Order: sequence, then structure tokens, then C-alpha cells
Amino acid sequence: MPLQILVVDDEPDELEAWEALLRKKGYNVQTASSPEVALRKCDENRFDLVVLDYVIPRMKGLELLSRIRKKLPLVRSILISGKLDKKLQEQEIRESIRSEMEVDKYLHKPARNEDLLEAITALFAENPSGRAWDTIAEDILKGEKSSVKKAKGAQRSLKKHLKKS
Amino acid sequence: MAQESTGFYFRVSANLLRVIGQELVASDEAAILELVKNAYDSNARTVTITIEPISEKRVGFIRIQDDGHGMSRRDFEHLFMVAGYSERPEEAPSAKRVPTGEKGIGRFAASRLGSRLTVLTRAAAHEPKVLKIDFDWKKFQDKKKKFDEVLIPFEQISSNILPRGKTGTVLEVTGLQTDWKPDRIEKLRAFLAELLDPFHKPGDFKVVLDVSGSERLSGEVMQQPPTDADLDLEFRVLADEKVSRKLSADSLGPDNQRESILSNANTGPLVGLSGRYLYFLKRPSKQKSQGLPPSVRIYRDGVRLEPFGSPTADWLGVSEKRAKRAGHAHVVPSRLYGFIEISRIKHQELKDTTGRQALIDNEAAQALVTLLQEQLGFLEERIRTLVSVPKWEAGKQKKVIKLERARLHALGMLSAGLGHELRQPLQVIRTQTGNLHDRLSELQINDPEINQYEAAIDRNVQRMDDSIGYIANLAKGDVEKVDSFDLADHLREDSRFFENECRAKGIRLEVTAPQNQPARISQTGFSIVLLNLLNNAVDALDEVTERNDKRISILLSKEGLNNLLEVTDNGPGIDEVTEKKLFKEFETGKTGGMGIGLYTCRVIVQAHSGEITYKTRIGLGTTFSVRFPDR
Repeated sequence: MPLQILVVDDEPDELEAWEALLRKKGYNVQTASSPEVALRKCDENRFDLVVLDYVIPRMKGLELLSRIRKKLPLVRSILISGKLDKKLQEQEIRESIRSEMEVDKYLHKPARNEDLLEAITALFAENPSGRAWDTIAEDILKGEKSSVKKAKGAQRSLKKHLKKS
Repeated sequence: MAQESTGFYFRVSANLLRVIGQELVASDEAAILELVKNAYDSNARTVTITIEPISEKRVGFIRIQDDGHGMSRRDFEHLFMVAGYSERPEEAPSAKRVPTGEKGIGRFAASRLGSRLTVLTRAAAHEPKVLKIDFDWKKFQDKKKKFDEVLIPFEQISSNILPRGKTGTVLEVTGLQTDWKPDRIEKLRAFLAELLDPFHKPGDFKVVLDVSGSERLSGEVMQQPPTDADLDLEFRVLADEKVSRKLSADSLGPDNQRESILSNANTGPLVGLSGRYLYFLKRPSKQKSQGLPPSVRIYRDGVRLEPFGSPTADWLGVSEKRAKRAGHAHVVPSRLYGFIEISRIKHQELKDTTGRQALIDNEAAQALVTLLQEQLGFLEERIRTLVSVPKWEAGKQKKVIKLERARLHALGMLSAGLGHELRQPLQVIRTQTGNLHDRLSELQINDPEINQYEAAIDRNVQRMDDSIGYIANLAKGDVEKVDSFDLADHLREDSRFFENECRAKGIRLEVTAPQNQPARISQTGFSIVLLNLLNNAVDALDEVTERNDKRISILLSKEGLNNLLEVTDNGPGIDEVTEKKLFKEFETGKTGGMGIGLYTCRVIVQAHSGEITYKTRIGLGTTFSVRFPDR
């Protein structure tokens, strides 16, 4: 089963461009042009990855991500931002963002297509099945605290899902 | 009546005395000064002022005693007793001195000090008795009485107050109006001291204060010269009528050499005159000024001529010049002390008047003013060069830096939005170009030409992105903040943003910089300066149409602690008219120019203790050199 990806961006042209790219590469893509739509879609789908813009009207990309994570604790994320200074090394940005919320990958806008594709590949390379759950299970075995937290959240959301189904 | 009257005569009410004493003489100190000046005019060598303040035991008095030529009964009647009369030099019995009292009212000054004045005087040394005159000023209070109806009694008495065999005058004031407390006497001392040249105290005249019961307040009155002036200009008129001068200043170093110059003034009548200007870059403390109010004063044989240097006399036009050239005149009157010394023997052409003006406005007096103004001009010139950033300029600089910071802040706000706003379409262009490529591959089209176009799009997307980053970076910076960075690297990066513009305009841009040049300066400040200089160079070359070897070279090097940046263009050069307003705010020689570029550059560079200079040759080009010292 292909990876399910949610792309969130308020700019329709941009959304369209990403959608075309990812679909062509065989991913299962859904788009959202607002945080509200994005959150609704998260209730209906189990996304493996969310690609979001740093600046989204009415809500910061990171805030949206944290809300999405409440619904989908295992979701992986790629943040694309044109606002941050390109000169800042990715590591620094990750560190500054980490305090707010863990983002799996940061990309500077305008990103090349291959940059995004490579990032996705890299994120899911560790577990060919593409399921984030496996990665977390591994982390738990390694004894990483943040993973335990994630796992607890995942458990909660799984229970919810099971109830629904 | 035999004769019919054909006109009127003024008759003066006795009350005029009050008017003169209380209103023409500004203060008690000034009243005593008037009386001291009278003593000086009478050739006294020593004037002793004895003050016995009123106390429970004593009634109090002020006694002013001199050893001058004294007054005979006839002198008294014809000189002292004629109101408004003052001896002219040629009328003085021995014209050794030029009178300092000009108004002929000094004697009435005594009336404001106390209700009674007793004068003891002896004009002939051999005379055993002294002339004693008693003034009871209260008698003048009757408004109905005429001035000449008040009888002033006199008698010849024996007195040991005036030593036998000596001439002189004693004025004794009783019924004191003022409570002479120590601080008041202190003030009087300062007031009297002002009469004396601090550098060359008169050899034949001294003023002694004698305050009963206070050793501290008693003693010879002397004026100390101000100390620790920042600039000290001495000058004198030599026998060959040239002016020799020497400027000393702490910050001047070996530059303080004596020089001899020709004055525009006719210095003939001024030969032998010497002067000294002391200038403080900040208003001096009381300790430095020795309590002396700032001014340029003239002393004749060590005794001050009034009104030169009085608070109301701007006789060298310093204040006037300052008012006219607001913000551009460098001599601030309140920091200037001048001591001009003339001699009654050498400078006879500098004549005194009996009026308000102490010198008759003749050629010699005019030459004096011209000479003093010239030296003041020289001093001003040196202040200008010595103090590269005068106070008014520093204030302006702060304002510009503030402005620059505000501008950057606004740019920062803008560029934050700008990043998002411009990078979004760039993202679409980039992604869709990639999608286009993929689609073409799908259609099995692999065309090198299309690949080339794609590469060009990508390159330019990158360029725009870099530019956005550059602006954002510049906007984030602070022109005052000092950063540690590699200046050579930074310069190469900065000048990259001009490469395309230069290429488009047919200008060759050459950057010569060392591999590395670590610097501790304001990165943003440096970028702004470079940007402005490059902009100007490009604009200058834009004016040239016939040249096909247009060139801008940027040279970075190290010169001691300075980072030296040179930007050279082979444009048309800067003409004289433009040169004059080159660094001025809101002056521009360019259409559409704001005229703040170079001004901002200079302010930023100066704020970092650097300097910006230029060399230009018409038709050949211009080089701007910026020295940015490491912090």
C-alpha cells in the first residue's frame, strides 16, 4: 500500500504543484488549503506523512502539526518554510523547532522536487513497510523517552480507531 | 528784569542720585569696582578695601583706601562734585594711566553701599592736614530738593588714617545697606579679580582685601588663569608687523609649532600686542575656569578695559557668526577665553573714549578687531580638523544611526513577509518546472535544449532566493552591532549581487581580496557601505556612453588595525559642484537619487571610528576608500 500523504498549503498553485509531483511518484496524496480542512481530513484518514508550510493563515504550521499529532500520533512530518533564514543550518532550525514540536524534516523554500522526494524516501527508508509504528517500537526497545510518550499517544488513538471500526 | 529768557535749563532733582546709585550700578560689587577703578585712575599703586561687616558690637563699614594722587579742594570742587564728569586722559594731572572709569558716576556708586560716605583726601604730600568731606545721602531723598541744593560739608582735619607725607584718598562708607557675609565677600573678590590680567598681573597696581576677623578672605586679589584648556593659541605682533603664533593642544602632538604669518590687518599700531585664546571643547568646570566667566578681554598694562568681555559685548561677533551659521560655527562663546594685552606706551593709537565704548573706533581699533577675528578663525579651523566629529555632528550621527536602525527594522518587517510572499511563487515555478520535466520524460521527450531552459529557470529561481536571503539578512542586522566574521568571504558574497547588474550594463566587476580576512566590525554596516559605494559606482558608469571598458574594482586589504576597502570606478569623476555636497544629507547629483547614500556611509563609518575618503579625477574615475577599524 502506498504512503498516504497530506499536503497543507494555503496557496492553491503550490498545492497543485506538490500534488502533481507526489501523485506522479505513486503516493496517495490528499491536499488541504486550510488548517480546518487539514484537521477534518485527519479524522477521516490515517496519514503516514504530513507536508506543511510554515506559514498557514490563522494557524502556524507547527501548531497545526501538534493538533494533527493529537489525532495521528505516529504521523511523520516535513516542514517547508520560506520564512526562515536559509543561512541557518538545518540542524539549528531543527533544534529551535524541537523545543516547540518535533519535526522530522525541514526544507527551505523554494525546494527542488528531488529534495522533497529524497526527504520522504529517507524518512521511511528505515522501515520498508513505511509504517511509523515499527520505528517507534524500535525506539521503545532502545529506551528513548520521547518514543514512550509517542507510543502512549499512539495507543490512545488506536483504541479510538478500534472503537470506531 | 533786564534780560528776557530765551530758553530753559534742566534742573535736577536730588532724587537722581538714587536713580544713578541704584539703577545704573548693577550691584554692590559693581559699585565697589567703580570705586576701585577711580583709585586706579588716580595713579594708585595699591588699593585696600577694608570690610567690617555689621555685627552686634560693630556698626560696620567699607573703607577703600588708595595711595593715588588724591584731590585738592579745587580738584574736589571742580571734578568730583561735577556729576557725569570724568577725566579725559589729557586732562589727568599725569597721564600715566588711561582712566578705566568712563561714566563719571563712580562716586555715586557709593550711595548704594551705605547711607553715609566720608572722603578723606590729600593731594599734596607736604600738607599735614587732610580734606574731609561728608556725604549724607539721606539728604538727597527729598524729591522737592534740587541736586545742587544739598550742601556737602567739608573741613580740613588731622587724621592718621592717611599716613603723613603721602597722597591718596580714603572713602569710608557707613550705614551699610548690605550684610557682607563671607560668601558675598567671596563674590566680590571674584568680581574684583576680573579686573586683573591673569597672565600678566599689573606690576604697578594691586588690590588688597582686608576683612576683619577673616584671614581666608583677606589678602591680595588675584585672578588665576583658566587651566587645562583643550586648545591654547598664543599670538603676538612682531616688530616686522607679522603675527607669530603657536597653537598647543593635547591631541595635536608634534603639530604645535610656532609659525609666523602675515595678517590682513594693518598691524603697525599693534606691534608688541600679545594675546591668548583658551578654548575648551566642553564647557569648563568652575575649577578649570577659575571662576572666570568666558569671554575675550582686553587688558591694558594688566588692567582690564571694559566693556570688552562683558556678558553683553559680542565685540568679535562670535555669537553673531554662530547665529548666522547655525550648526556650522565651531567656536562656542561659552567655551572661549581670550586675554589680549595692550600697553599704554606701545599702543597709543588704541585710544579710550569716555563713553560706553572703551576704544575710539579708529583704524588701530579696527585693525585689532580684524587681527583677533583672524586668529579666532584660525582657532576655529583647528577645532574643526581636530575634532573630526563636533558635538552637533555627533548628535546628528546618533539621529542618522537611529534612522538607519528604524529603516532596517522596517525592512526587517517587510522582508519577513517578503520571504514568504516571494518564495511561494518561486516554489511553484520550481516544482512545476520539475513536473514539466517529469511529464516530458513520460512523453519520452529528452531534448538538450529543453534541459538547458530548465537549468536556466532553476538558476534564476536560485538567484532570486539568494537575493531574498541577502535582504533578509541585511534587515536583521544592526548597524551598531559588532560581529566577528570573515570579511573577505562576506565581501565576495555581497558583491555577487552586483555581478548580474554589472554584466547587464557591460561593466567588468573585479574583486580583489585575500583568501581570508577575519574582522570584528559591523557586518550590516559594512554591507550597507559597500552596497552604497557599488551603487554609486554603477550609477557613475551609467553616465558614460562612449566607453566600452567600464570597470569597477573592489579591493580589500588590511592596513594596520584597519580593514581597508577601496571601490574604484573609471567613470566621469566627481565635478567640483557635486564634490562640495558629496557627504551632505539629501544632496544628490543623480536623477531619482535620495542623497542619503554617502551621508549614511559616512555616519556608519564614523560611528565605528573609521573614515571614508575619496580621490577623483575628471574623466578618469573615482576611488572611495573606507577604513573600518577592528574592534
